[in-house]
Amino acid sequence: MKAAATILFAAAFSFSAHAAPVRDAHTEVELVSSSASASPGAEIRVAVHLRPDPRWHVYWKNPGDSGLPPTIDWRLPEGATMGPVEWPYPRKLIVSNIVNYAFEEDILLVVPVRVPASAKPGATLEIGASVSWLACEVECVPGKAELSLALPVKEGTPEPDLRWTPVFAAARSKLPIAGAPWRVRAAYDASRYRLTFTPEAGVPAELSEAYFFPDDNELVDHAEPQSFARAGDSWTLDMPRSSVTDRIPSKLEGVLFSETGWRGPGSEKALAVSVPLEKTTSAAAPPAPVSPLGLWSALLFAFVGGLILNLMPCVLPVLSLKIFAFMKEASENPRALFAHGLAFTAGVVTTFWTLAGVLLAIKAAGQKVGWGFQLQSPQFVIVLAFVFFLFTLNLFGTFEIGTSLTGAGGSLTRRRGLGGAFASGAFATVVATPCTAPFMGTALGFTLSQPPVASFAVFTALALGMAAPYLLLCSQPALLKYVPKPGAWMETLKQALGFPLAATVIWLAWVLGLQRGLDASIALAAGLLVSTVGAWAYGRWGTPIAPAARRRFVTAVFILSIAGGVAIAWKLLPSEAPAATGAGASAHGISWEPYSDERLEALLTEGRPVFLDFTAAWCLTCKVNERVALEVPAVQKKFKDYGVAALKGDWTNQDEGIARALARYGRNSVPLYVLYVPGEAEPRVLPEILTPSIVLEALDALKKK
Amino acid sequence: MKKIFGTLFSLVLAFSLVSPVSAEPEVGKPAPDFTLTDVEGKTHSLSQFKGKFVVLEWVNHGCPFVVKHYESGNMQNLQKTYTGKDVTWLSVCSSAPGKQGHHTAEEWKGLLKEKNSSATATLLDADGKVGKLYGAKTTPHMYVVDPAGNLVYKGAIDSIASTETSDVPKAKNHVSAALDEALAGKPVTESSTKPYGCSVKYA
Repeated sequence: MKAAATILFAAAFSFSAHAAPVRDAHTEVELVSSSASASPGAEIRVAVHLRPDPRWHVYWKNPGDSGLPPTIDWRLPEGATMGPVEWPYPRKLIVSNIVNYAFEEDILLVVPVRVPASAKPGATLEIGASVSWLACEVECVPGKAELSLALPVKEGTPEPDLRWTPVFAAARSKLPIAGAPWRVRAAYDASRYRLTFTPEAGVPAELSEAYFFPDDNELVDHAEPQSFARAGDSWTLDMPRSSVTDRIPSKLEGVLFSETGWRGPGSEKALAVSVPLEKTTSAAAPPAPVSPLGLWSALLFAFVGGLILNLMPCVLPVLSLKIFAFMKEASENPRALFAHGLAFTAGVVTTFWTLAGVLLAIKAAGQKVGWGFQLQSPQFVIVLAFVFFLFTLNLFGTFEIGTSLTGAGGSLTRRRGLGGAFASGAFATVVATPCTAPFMGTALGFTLSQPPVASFAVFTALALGMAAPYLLLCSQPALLKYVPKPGAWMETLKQALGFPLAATVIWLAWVLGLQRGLDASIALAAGLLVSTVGAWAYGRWGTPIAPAARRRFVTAVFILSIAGGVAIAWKLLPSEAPAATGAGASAHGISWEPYSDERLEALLTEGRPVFLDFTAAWCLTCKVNERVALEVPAVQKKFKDYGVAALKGDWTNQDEGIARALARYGRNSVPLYVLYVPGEAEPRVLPEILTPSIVLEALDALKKK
Repeated sequence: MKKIFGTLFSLVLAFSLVSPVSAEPEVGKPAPDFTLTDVEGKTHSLSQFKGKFVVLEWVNHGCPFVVKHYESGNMQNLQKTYTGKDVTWLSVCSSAPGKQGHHTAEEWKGLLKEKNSSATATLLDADGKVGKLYGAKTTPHMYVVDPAGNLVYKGAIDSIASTETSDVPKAKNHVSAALDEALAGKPVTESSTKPYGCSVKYA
């Protein structure tokens, strides 16, 4: 009957010639066109119409757990081109534990065909298609058909084929909408994929459910439930990853289906999805192994850390000067010694409290900062460089302030000495900040999560630890017996100590260069030169024997030259950080990659061992560790041998992401070294001071795996 | 107290993450043991074949994908080749009574002769218990168990999902690749693939 009708229609529309539908495998198939004629250069829509018998189904492009999608081999006339098949959204069929994506109704698989511009009116456009498909009720039958379609070529717009226009229109309503008013993002972690979809402004969005049909047959286990949830203005759909393969495609492609409709109730139910797959941070980020350190052990750690801080490369020059001053003090005025020790301690403690206060205030304002944070400020680096530089000039004897270290100050010294001791305590603390000593990281990290009182207690313990050796030396003058007797050699030593300080200035210029580029370093050098002129003038004409008026004048010149020098360095400071701050660029042996949560997670998912180095240009401890214990051939070789991925987190400049990562390990300071050993639940945290053997030993944990 | 809750919570989380709908066996893990009756009425357990490689083949002779591999002689060749190398080959039919592929023991005997099967035994799993235990989704769906009883391969028979017999020689046969490697004492390169075929006709 149907066939008869088709023949009748064919007779009525004699200008178009549809081949009769073919029946196979409980399905009727037919090649149809939305237009009854073809025009040169026009686009027409041609389709395979599949009509399975009642209760039978044919499959979608991803058939699900079993089945097979229909395949079409097209034959087009010379010069004609076609687009991809437009698949309507399927239905989810569940039998037992098997899930299929299929059609139980008639479907139209449409392709757009571009008629060649050279097609001659009056000629016939012939299109052929070999179709094979699998139809299943419960059992399955493969079907095959050779179909063809002939359209007359006519000028003008193609005439619609009225028999098929409603069918094409109905099919269009089942096509997933592309470029839809929804923003879709796709991410994955170790166990699942997540789609996040957010409506654009003005889209009436109220979803109660959603389901994702992936194009890729191996993306998910189709029988696994997908979990739908609302997250603020967005919705999410989580799908467990396939148990068949670990492969992650670069894009997530498929159809997002919601009964509710994507443009409000009754609108289109399917959304075309083709978005890049990203690694997730949130769900996937490694668990925070925050060390459950008690207050007392934090205080102990801080004290010991402060003690060791004295031996750190940034404090050592200051320390030598300090001992030096003590020696002088002991020889001149042994009784004042203890008062000096106390003043020095007070200087250290006060400065640490100031630091703690600023740190807490910034933290309270919601910013992520940590130990050494002030060195993230280029302005601070500039000021510090001036202090060090003027100190260096002073040691070299360019100028003297008041009484020199070796001068015969007599009664004056005591008063001056107390203030000086306080100041040198403060100074030692300020220059110590680029260093993190062993135990300190843990103790400082403890303050992250603690109320201000506990934080202050920790900082106080740190300060006391740092000042303890001096205090001990001062309270037990007997110990000074072991210190050599003062003499002319002290002047030589004093001048010699100028060199490590000058080196410190170079280092600060380098830090500034990394923060703001070469111009910043040069501006600093120019500023330092200006202040040198003032220092020289002061030293030349401002001596205590000079007339008072002249001294006042050169003192003013000196102060102005310093202010001017700082102003130059400050004013010429480029406002932008240079593009790359050295993170991955440095090493030869170990190929460092910049740290990111995503990268770490990706590497861990791959099951690779991962080494993390959290560092900063201003962190001397970090730099020493890198030179001494990381970038050495034996360690480099082990990194290579065990395939250790190396990630470097650079904290030279303020960086929220790095601060967050540090916090995850219970830290707010650099250096931090972490080794992830595959198969171990917790990462290993290495000490703040590295030796090659510490690193090698840690890496050997990988050998056993 | 906090710790206990933390532990409990992570345990619950861990279980909710690892336990899929059906706990399908994983490659590298022990293949679950089962006992089934074959068409001759003899009972077989997987554990009795310890010390030998075992192939499990899900079968339904009404399924065009199975037909493809039997008509081309591909399946019988595999059976002959590997039983000749002391591999145990068990065909398993999980079709429920009344569904496609289900046959009585007597019908099966005739069918096996007609198909020229060289399987060690054909096991009847009409209630689908073993099929579901293994997560068998399609016919064919193939599993390889090593002499220690661990699963070394699961998935498709070959690389071309179709019902065309002409595709058999073009495809890469995953089962023979896995068996050849395993028999040579090597790890199986492609140990898990997506099976293709008709759905298993469970009750």
